Amino acid sequence: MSNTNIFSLPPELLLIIFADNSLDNRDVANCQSTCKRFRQITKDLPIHYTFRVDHVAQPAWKLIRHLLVYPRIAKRITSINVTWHRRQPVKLETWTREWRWEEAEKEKIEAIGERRLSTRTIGAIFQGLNSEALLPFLLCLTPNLESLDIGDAVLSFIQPEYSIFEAVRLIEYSSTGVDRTWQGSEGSHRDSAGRYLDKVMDAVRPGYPSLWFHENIRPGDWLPGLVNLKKFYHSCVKYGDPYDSNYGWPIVFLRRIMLLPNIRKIKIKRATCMKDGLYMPISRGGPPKDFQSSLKSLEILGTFIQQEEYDVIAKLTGSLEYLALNPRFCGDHRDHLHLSGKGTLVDDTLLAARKPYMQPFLQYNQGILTDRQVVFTEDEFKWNVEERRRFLNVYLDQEFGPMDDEIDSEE
Amino acid sequence: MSTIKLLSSDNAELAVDKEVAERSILIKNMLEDVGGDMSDQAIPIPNVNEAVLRKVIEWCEHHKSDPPPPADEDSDSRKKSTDIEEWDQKFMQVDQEMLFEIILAANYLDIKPLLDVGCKTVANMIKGKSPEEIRKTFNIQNDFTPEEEDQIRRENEWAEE
Repeated sequence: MSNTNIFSLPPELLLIIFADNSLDNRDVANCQSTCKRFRQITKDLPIHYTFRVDHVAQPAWKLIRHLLVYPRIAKRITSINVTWHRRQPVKLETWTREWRWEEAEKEKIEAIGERRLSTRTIGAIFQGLNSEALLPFLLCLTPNLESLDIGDAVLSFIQPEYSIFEAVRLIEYSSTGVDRTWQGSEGSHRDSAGRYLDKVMDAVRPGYPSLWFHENIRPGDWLPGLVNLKKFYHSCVKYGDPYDSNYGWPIVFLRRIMLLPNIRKIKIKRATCMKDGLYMPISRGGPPKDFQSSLKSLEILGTFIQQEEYDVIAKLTGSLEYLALNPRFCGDHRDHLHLSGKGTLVDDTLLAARKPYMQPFLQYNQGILTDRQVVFTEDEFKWNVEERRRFLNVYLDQEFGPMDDEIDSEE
Repeated sequence: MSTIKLLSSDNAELAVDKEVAERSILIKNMLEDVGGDMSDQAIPIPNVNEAVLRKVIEWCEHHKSDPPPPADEDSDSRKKSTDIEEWDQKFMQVDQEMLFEIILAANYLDIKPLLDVGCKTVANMIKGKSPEEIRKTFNIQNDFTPEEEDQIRRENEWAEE
């Protein structure tokens, strides 16, 4: 045998090894530093990046700072997974410090973002509190992005359940690093906390009550990172009360995602038309002139939207090969139908109940989509007792925390 | 069951069940091209020596009835199959020279699942190691100047966890 070693492998085999899914970004970086040959092979390797919103280690801020110096790295990013680490009042270990930019960095951010992002988004980036605002900025730098998973989004920076004092404590800690306990129930104290919060929140909250990402999606004038996007996933399963239609991903944004020029696959879990008790439907405008949908797979699961929205959504398709639905009703007090029919024979009543949801899709995707490619999935929210209990611990403890109770009873 | 013969690069003739040999897409296509009847003539495998060929056949024997891998090239499937099954792990406990020979043979013979196992084995040898440890593991010379090394390190700071 003639002394076979790792360099006996041709570049295409080394590439398979370096691209192996057991190696993370750090491992690949270490390979790059090993020798010139490895560096040559790995320097253009696609990056799968996990974007951690509000994580205490501030990785998202650090990444952007780095990309301002090495923008070439951003071109390697082909997939982004977002994970959510929002600050929680009851967990001090989640309290994240505010990020401070250098003046030169701000200039660069402004130059890259000014034509593409809303002024408010750039303001939020400069403010350094809500790292979610960096996601649309990252999309300005990643023209080769193919897959975006927004993850189990926690839409609000400060959730409505937090007491005003808790929120102020979180934010104050972010900028000063000092945990000053705001308490007591005096009216004036509460007012000043409220004014402080309003001022800060104005800068950390996107215009529409949802995400900075949505605020910057403009059909026809797409962010570079959306032009080649093939897969989009979104979920709000762990956010808020799963039985409350006011929580969830605002379905109004689905239309924009469906209009992306190269989109193939969309999966959303738990979307809603309800916002603060108002019904916010998808635009009835239909597709733009000459629009040809490239979408092949669509999954809309656990949604609080009226049946007519499915007509509107179907109109934006045309090349669907797979469809999964899990409809829930909203706007009326009926329990949602269990359209999946699990454990029961699929009877005529069930088929009849499914038909109006399915029919428009079959019509607009005639010849491609048949009822055999339409799936009615399980109810996402049939939690077992243990899951329900865990949910109550996480969310409702905060909502009805003792401090809140005191304040409310005195007013 | 019909048997065929393979001729290694060092002229050893090995008899193999046709079904086993057909785990190699190269051999499978070759047999199809000649109409299946190769019972009297050994198929030359010029790039693979006897020791490696025996090893590859051992793997094919064990995996002869594996179902074909799903044709899903979706990136979702990236997440799956991060582990190597136990038998394969043992199988791959060989010296590095043999390991890379197996990978080269799997590539040449077009046995994708074996190639995957081989590459994954090497990836596992890289995982979690510092650049210096990787060099040591594979006996690699550091051919960077200190300046270049520093430059690369700075460029890769984003990947710090």
